[in-house]
Amino acid sequence: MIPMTERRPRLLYLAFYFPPSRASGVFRPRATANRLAELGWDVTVFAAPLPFLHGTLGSVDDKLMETIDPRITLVRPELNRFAWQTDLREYSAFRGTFPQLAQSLYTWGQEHVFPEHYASWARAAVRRAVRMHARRGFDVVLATGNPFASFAAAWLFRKLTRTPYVLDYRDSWTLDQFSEEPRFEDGHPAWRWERRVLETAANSLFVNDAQRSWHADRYPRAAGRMMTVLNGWDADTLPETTEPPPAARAETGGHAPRFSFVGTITGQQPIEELVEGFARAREHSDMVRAELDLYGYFGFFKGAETVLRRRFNAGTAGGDGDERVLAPGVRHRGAVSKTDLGDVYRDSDVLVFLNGGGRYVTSGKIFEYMAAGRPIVSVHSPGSAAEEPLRGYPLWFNPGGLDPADIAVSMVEAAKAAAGLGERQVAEARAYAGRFERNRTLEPLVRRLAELAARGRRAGGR
Amino acid sequence: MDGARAPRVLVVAMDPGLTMDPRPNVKPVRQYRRIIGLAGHFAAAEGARVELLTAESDGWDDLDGRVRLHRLDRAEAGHPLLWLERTLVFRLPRLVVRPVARRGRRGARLDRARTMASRRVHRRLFVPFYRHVRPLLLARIARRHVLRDVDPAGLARVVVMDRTSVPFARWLARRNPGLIVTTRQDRSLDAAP
Repeated sequence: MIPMTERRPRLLYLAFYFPPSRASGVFRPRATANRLAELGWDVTVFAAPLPFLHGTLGSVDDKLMETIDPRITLVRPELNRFAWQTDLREYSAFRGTFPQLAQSLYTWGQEHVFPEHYASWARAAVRRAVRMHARRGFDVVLATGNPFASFAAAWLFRKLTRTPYVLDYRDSWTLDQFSEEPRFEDGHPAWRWERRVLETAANSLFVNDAQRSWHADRYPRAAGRMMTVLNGWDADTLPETTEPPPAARAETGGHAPRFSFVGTITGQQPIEELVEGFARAREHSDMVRAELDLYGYFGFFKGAETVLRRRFNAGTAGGDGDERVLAPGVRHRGAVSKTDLGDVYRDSDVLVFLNGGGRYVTSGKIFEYMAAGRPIVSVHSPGSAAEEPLRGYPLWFNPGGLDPADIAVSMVEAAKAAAGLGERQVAEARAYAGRFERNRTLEPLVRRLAELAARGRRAGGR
Repeated sequence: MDGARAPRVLVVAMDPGLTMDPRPNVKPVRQYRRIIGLAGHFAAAEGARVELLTAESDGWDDLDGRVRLHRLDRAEAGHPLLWLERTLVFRLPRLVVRPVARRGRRGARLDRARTMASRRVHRRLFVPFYRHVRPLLLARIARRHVLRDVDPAGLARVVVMDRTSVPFARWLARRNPGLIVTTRQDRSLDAAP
């Protein structure tokens, strides 16, 4: 905590996806901004404009705004929504009159200025940041991507004001984490930009070691300043203590095992293997009445739901016209606000960790799962980055791959384990998860930001 | 279906082959399939009266018989701008070269060179210019010819399939404040724009 007599270090945080956005990437910036505000920092967050979140993406959880520290200053620079405009009434007069010319100019900007649709937000962010900096200087900038236009904004802001910046890769930019191949062809401007922003960054952060190594190999001149800062679980949205699962509290034989998945269903996840594995698990005598509840949205943006629902129904009939039933025993319970997740975990016996991608994808959700103190069944390809933190978790059930028969065996074993769990075992599981509590995982970043801010103040005599 | 009360949809696909796009996102064959599929869906599944507005004469063999096709290609071909370009770039040079074109190999070579030069001027100079003018020209033609047959006030939805269609569709949107005019290809009459 910074003494009140000392000048508070001032952070500019470029976090496009920030509450009330419900994108999976908002939780790390939310926790980081809150933590720094709690430690006495003067935090200014630059985030996405609300009309974009509400109107264009339709991807909002208003309750998340209540979890933002009121001391944080929130600024929403404007964004040119050219690439997302579908209603012709929103077209500018120029675009409406000369649509081909407008498109050519826009494409030229993508190819020669910055290769992302969010570039206009970055320009607006720099304009506003420079004005604010002239009134009262920022000590350090933290930029998180995606979108990676925020990295370019931090780079440009440093060029104009000499303010050091730290880049936080929540996802990778030029590496496709799912196919594990470069996302862009050689010569694409994204490579040039990534080199430029990394080589002048004070530090760059990655969510796992595999991502850090990949970037260190590509950009050796920046490798020494690369750090791994794991995701974590947020203590403010989960209860302090956890009780044994309902199966352990119920009378013998009277309880239907409850499996839960919490998170966003996406196209990269092995949905078919999950449905097949769960169907096979239900063939076991103790699992006939087992239920799998899915909490969360289908996809990050509106329009993804139909395609994803179809993947659940492809192999199995849904149920009785009830659109919440995705397959026998599998039910979509809808979205739950982050602030209400404690109840969901309390009422679950087993958590299903459905995850797409391999060694580069950790998924922030796994830390919250561990903090819930429930048996976890992995449903992802072997070698996932999430296996690393799970390895020491005492209630992890790993089928070792995506064979539905193995998934079924793990589910049956996890349900049995849940029924026999006592308070001590749950407390042990929770204690292991304690090392991934967000404030702990953020410690290296907070320390580094404090060093940079102090160095900047000394150099500037502020 | 009662034709008088059926919802009406206008699909605007002035350039279904995407010939005016320097780098089209989809192949022309696929774009035709999209247009025909969407128009057919509104006619068959939604019971709508569908009007399809285009400036291309070919490629509509698979179109649902219930969809009314409004073609602007003849009106476009007769526009003075195109007539002027054909005259200056193709007809006049042909007239100039004609006296020598049939005089031996040299004449034939000159005529071939004239053809190539005309085509090059058309492709390199006229088409890049026309790409930006054509949407406005077609919008003007559409306003004159189509609005005699299609009452915009009775439309439930206007779906815009390509950039060349934008000025006409935007003009419709400005004239009819409640009308949904969108580039979204949702197969629903009630979807948001």
